[in-house]
Amino acid sequence: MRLALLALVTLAAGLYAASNCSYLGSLEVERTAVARVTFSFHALAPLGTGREVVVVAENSVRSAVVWGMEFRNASRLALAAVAADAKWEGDLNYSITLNYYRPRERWRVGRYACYVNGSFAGYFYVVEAEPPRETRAVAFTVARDRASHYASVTFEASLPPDLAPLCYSLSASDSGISCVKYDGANYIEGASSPGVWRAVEVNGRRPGGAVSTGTVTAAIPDPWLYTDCCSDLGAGTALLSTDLSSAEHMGSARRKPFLTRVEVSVVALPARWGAVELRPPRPVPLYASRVLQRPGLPYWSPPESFRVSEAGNATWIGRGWRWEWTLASVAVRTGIVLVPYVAVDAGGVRAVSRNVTLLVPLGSASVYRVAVVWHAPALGVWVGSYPATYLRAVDDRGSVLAPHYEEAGSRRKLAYAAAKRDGGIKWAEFAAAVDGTFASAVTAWYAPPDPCAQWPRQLYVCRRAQHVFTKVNGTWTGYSKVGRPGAQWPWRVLALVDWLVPGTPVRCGADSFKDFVHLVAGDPVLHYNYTYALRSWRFNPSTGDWDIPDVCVHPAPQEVSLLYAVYGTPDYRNTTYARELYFQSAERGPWFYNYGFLDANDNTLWPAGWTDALPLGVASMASDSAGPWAVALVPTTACESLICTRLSATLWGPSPPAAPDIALPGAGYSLLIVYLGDTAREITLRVRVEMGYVVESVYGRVEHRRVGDRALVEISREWRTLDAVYAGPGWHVDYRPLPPCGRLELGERAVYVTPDDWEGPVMVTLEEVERSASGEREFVVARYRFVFFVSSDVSYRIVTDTPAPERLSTPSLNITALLYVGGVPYFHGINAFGEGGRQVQFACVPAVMLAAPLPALSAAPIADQTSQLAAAGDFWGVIELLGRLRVESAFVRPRFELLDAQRGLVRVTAEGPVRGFAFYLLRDGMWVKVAEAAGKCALVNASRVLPWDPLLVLPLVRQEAAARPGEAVVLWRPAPTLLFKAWADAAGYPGGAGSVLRDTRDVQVPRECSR
Amino acid sequence: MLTLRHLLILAAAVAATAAAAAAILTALQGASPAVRVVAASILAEKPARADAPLAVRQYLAYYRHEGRWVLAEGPAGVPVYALGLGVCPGDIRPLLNRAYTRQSAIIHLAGCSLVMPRAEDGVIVHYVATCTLGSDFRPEPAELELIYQGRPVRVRVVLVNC
Repeated sequence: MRLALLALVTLAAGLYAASNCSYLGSLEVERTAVARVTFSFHALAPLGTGREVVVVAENSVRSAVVWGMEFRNASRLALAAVAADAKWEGDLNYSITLNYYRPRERWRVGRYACYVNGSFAGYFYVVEAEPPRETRAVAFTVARDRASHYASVTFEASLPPDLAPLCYSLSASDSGISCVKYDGANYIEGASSPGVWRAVEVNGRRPGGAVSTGTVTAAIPDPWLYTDCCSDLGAGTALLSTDLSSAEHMGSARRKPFLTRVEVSVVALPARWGAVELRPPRPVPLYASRVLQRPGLPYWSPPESFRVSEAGNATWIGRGWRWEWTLASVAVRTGIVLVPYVAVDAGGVRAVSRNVTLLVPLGSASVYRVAVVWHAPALGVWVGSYPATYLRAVDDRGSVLAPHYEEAGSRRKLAYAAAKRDGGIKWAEFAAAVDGTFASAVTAWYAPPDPCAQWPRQLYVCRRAQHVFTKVNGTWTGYSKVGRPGAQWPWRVLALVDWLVPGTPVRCGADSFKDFVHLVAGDPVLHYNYTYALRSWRFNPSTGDWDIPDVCVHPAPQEVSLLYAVYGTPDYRNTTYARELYFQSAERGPWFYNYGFLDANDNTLWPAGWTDALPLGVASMASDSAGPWAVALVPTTACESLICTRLSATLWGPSPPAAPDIALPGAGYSLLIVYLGDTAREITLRVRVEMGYVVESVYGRVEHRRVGDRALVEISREWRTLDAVYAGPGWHVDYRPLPPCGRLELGERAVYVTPDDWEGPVMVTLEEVERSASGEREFVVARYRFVFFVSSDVSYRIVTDTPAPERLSTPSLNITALLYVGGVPYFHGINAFGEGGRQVQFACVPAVMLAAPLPALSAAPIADQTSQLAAAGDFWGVIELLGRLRVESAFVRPRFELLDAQRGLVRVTAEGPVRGFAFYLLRDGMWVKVAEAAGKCALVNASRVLPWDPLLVLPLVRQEAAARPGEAVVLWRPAPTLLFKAWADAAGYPGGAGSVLRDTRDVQVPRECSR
Repeated sequence: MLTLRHLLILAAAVAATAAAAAAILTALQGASPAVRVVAASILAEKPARADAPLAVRQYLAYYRHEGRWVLAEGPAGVPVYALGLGVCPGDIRPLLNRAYTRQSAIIHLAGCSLVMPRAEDGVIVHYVATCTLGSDFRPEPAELELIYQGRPVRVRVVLVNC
């Protein structure tokens, strides 16, 4: 009535006000709906008691992809198993009280049309009468023997009219239309849950019972409390939600509105929870290794730098050989930090974070997979780890966990054994148990970083080894050999990527092995009470080889922090911590670490448990100082055509190159300059080359001049660690990786060409230049010298093969000459010439350079990808490619042996390197292939091969030969021969018939002929 | 197929007329001059023409190496053909177990000239006709180097197109 009056007043005032509403009458609305209350109940159980593992809670819902695998990016996760069966101390009662409008009753709603400034603003509705309310209690009971329960209850209720805007009251005035929004709703008055109760049996376990996984055991709490409100995890897990409000714990739910849907969802949790903690190591620096000259002084001093490998040469002086150390590969610390993350996989739930704490119900005993993955934030990539993840006695805060492990091990709460792993993420497996007496298992982990593997993109390709090119007194020296006479290996490779720690003891008898993280981060260590007596070789002045057996002793104790195993009993031999025999860390296991040593009796000694790392192998010319630069040669072709009228510089991969410091005389090269400094700096770099030429375009003509005193190029830019450029005379471009035989075309640019009248070392100087404030004077603030070698130590591998085309016109031989310099595959864009100056376009083929420096037990990957020059054609008489190679021909003719004239069986053989035979018949003026046999001989049924239609037998010659320029090489060539039936047999000679030879049926390869 | 059937008949005839063969040697007389000329031309690998069509037949024999090459009945050895022109006997067994040379390769019987396979200087030469009745003979040689029982041997097959 009051509303109606107000409406009248508003109407009367309408003439004067800016807005007004007119009452249009009232509506009767009946809106009854069926509402549903659903109830679900699940119980969880300790890990190890059920197969399915679920995440109960986590502190982050983000995800991360690492090495192609998706992880939760959370550092705290609560995990539990799903309970399949359960017995409770009694039935569990849940109830909620609902308050709602009685169904099938009517609403009365007034309808108004409203205007603002005379224009229609819409219809408004005002509730004039509402249905009476009623309350209802809904109860759900989970039977005492149920681990899960579902139920639902439906009832009818009236809903507020579906009209908008729906108001309690409406007023119109100068300031506009005012509607007090109607909020009458159905709601939940209250709810109750059992809160805490005792479990009698869950997943077959009773209070006080044991849960075991292999070697670890946890005790179920007694009494075994379950809860839906008050577990150690905090928040209640009996949740009430409606279609109008979000989930809330039942105990705290007050006046929750709903329309037609109410959900009660209960997760019954064990009340007491423990933790399994996974800790990473401390961050470590990235080390980059490259070759340095070593005139007597060691350049390595951990942790600034580590020795990776060394080389030298023997020179005959006076009455004996004298050894001189010449080169070393040294891993130098860069400014890039590798940050370890812990990845964990618990029953299919994967998470990655700096460190991860898994909360699990007390009484859990489970197997977890863990891995340390390394991230280089400055580079934006993940780097690999190799060969596996290991348990470590020291965590990321530098605390020693060894006593904890010992206690855990002796109480059967922690079990672990080192194992080799494959794949991008190197998972280690361990088992942990937590219960009332041992509520928290703490573990720390380490995986040696392998920066050569990078994800998701490969920023820089490692070179694993560099071949050593040495020259003494103007002549190329041979390589010294190492080992027992008769079982020696040549010392001609410097490893760039190898373990850092084995290089730390320098003096035999005095130094022991160090722990890598101890060296770089100052972590505490355990001590392994063991003396290594390792096989070594002494230089022999009378042979120039290292063939005198010796023993190098590294006295105890050795620093260790990785553990081979956690023991259930205090069986810790040979190890000390705090002066007590404490921890065994070097069990004789095959996969504790991926390398080993040899003792004097050639027995394998496994390394102690020291942390270690692999460096990033940077291809570089040898330098005389450990400066922040690495320089490598990249083969560059100047022209595309034989007669060079227009420059078109093209760089050839792989880049970084596998042979960074070896050049051919008179050939074009660019420089790959890599910055390895700690910090980002603005640097002007001036590059000088001692000798050689610059080929450049002058007014459209291609001319060349000597390098002289002029700098090759000056580069001013900001350099960040691992920034790299390609540089040539007067130009530089940003680095981009090139795969083997990949090419980078730079267009018309000048090209540096090595001297053609000099073989030996050529110096490259990098000068860091600063200008005075006025810009008038220049200062060279630092100067770094590098050296590359011009070498014509060229050799070839010649591979021949006979093509067997479907239609043969002339038999030919594919001859491929592959180029080696200094004994390693080498590429440059040089065309080959055959007899009479016939030119053959060069080709680039990918090749593999094996880098096996020593028969050491290091199983670090040892193959480098490279590219190789291949000249392919049918060369007669001569191959001219960096020198002349004479080709002499020998011919392979098939021989026919009549085995069985009646059946026409002929055995076809040939002398020489034959891989098979192809058989042709003349059809329509062309030799057409009818059969092919792979083997040293073949059986042919020639009974239907007639003399007037003979069979052409082409021997398929395949040969490999090695040669040096100036030498002659004998190449076998195929000489095709005709075969037909020349004897009498039952088939006779049907006049005018064509020959028949059916593949496979008439041509067979007996077993003794196949290879 | 005609040839194959013919050869089968020939083989049967060789087996069946063993007794009649004894009479052949007694029938040694001069053959007709026309047949002689054709046989001599074939031996010389020259084309030849007969006024009247001549019957042509082939005999299977084997050249076996017993210190020297011997034409034998077989079946061991390199199988070869002997060529009969004119009215020739069904069997040449009496002519086997000896070696033939270029001089002795033609044997004239009554109305029949035989061109025998011969072995000289490591080359076995034999003659293959492509017809059973012909007047126009065009010999065409083809030679193949073979290894037979570990011994290199050249086989010259003279195809007599007719």
